[in-house]
Amino acid sequence: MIHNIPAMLKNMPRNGGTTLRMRRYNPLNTATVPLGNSGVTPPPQQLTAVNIDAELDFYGTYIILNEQVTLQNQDPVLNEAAQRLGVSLRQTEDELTRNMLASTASFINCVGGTNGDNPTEITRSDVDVIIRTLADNNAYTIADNIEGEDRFGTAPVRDAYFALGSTQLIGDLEQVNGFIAKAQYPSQMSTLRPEWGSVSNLRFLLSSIGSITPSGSNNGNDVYNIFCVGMEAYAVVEQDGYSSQFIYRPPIYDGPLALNASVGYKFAQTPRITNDAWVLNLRATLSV
Amino acid sequence: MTSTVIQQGSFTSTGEAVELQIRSDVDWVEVDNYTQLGTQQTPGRGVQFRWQRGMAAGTGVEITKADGADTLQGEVMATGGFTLLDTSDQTPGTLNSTITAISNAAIPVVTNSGTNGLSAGDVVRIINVTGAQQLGGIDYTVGINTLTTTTFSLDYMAQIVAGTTGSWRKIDFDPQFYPRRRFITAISQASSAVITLSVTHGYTAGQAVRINVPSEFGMTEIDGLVGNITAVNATNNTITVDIDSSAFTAFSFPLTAAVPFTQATIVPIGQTATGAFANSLDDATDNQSFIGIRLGAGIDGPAGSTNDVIYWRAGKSTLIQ
Repeated sequence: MIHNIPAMLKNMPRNGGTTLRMRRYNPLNTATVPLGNSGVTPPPQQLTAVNIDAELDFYGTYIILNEQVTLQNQDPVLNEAAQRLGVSLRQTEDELTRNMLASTASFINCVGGTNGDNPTEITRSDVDVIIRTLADNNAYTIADNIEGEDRFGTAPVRDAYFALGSTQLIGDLEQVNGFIAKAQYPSQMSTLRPEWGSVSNLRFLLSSIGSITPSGSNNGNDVYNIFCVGMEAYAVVEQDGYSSQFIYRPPIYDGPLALNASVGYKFAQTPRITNDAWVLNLRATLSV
Repeated sequence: MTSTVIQQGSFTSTGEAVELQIRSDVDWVEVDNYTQLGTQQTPGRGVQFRWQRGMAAGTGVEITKADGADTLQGEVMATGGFTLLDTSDQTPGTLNSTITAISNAAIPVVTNSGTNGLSAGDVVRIINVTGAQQLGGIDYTVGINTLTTTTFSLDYMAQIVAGTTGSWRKIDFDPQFYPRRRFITAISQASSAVITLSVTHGYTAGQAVRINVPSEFGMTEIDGLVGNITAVNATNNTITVDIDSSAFTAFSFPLTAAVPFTQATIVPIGQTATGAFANSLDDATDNQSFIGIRLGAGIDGPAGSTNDVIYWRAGKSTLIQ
């Protein structure tokens, strides 16, 4: 679960309606002409902005267990159910952010490969284009650099944007010129569990539920969406006073014979890109 | 807690398929065509319809009236019946390797072998067309201008050099989150640029959009600019933005030899904070996926014919471990 790692957390105030309004002010022009000594006041600039809105949605699921299951089964079924529900909750949150990015982020196709498709497999030139575009857009890197050390087989790692993709990309990623595997970092102190390695100023976090557009390429192959993210590019909005809830209702609440228990979760959330110039979807197919 | 959720409703048919949003999900559904139950028609029409989980998609049981009589008779529907919906499922339809030609008409027309089974307004993804590789991987709204069992128009696509053989897939559902990124097929040179999009866009005036136009499309001056939508045209599927493109290089959709390239896109980024639209929330990111069931239309379909009054009931049984 990687897609909420770079996300900002924002809160919808209680009783604030259904939609959170954020606002991003546009850059002003610089003022490189001297004021001079005429005493004449120069004209002002107009401050402009874009409103960025996110409508909260509520999600949840549950299971029902007959009392005889928890009474007679040798497994701790309720404990197992709680664990699976916990994973389901976090995975739902992750997939929502993933699907939002797939629906709304700008994209750049990989075109440097040789597999004859559009987009092609990922190559170093495609990585360079993404990094240059994010840097041109004044996106801040998320991860600090890792200084080189006198350790065999390691190499320094640049400060980096995060790239969030599917584990299906591992083979092609390791063929990209300049790829440094996580194990070759001089220090493992600032790495993340899903991190696979880095290329130039991109550090790749991979997941088995990374974004895929089925049959999305020119040749009808699956397209792998690699979300390349700078700092504060997108947010996850939660409802104040309504964080995720785990709900267990024992059988006593069920009917005259109290036969069934239920266990579930619910939460309110919506993901939203807050600066579209700081998140780009690098689309790729596989080499084989 | 341990029961069956039953929901009900009614609608007046428009002659088109109807999608019922039923959050409880559906294990069974019953439909009465109230209008046709009260009349006799020749040919006889379907008046009651049923579907239960386990039946194949698009099927169902139909009770029809005999020609000009109230006598009821039953039959199994092979097509045009009930189909479960979960629009969060982004799996595209079956690969149809049936394209034999795409014309060079002002609105390109695709010719397919066999029967395409499409309806006007459906969305189709074009795949690997010889001589028209630039169309590959792009979704198009189809069939509004031209639709037969063996042809369908790419309604909002610019004129192309003709293509030959290729494939297509039907795309049943939009991406999950609104407002969605869309592919650009044309941009005018005008004081307020008019941008044509390949799929019915769903945007509204007042939304701010970023315009991504790679060099292969010519109008590089507009690449990366943010414009505010000042007007939308549903007929032509265009948006008008407050960007003066009159002096820009002409927009030109790439030819087949340009592949691979990045497609031109519109990306909604927010809502203009000034003017009449400042207080609109139309741009709000929203998960629009739903669960429900689609009812086929027509005299033998559960969604009925135009002006038929339809009543429906649907149930979902709770699953207990």
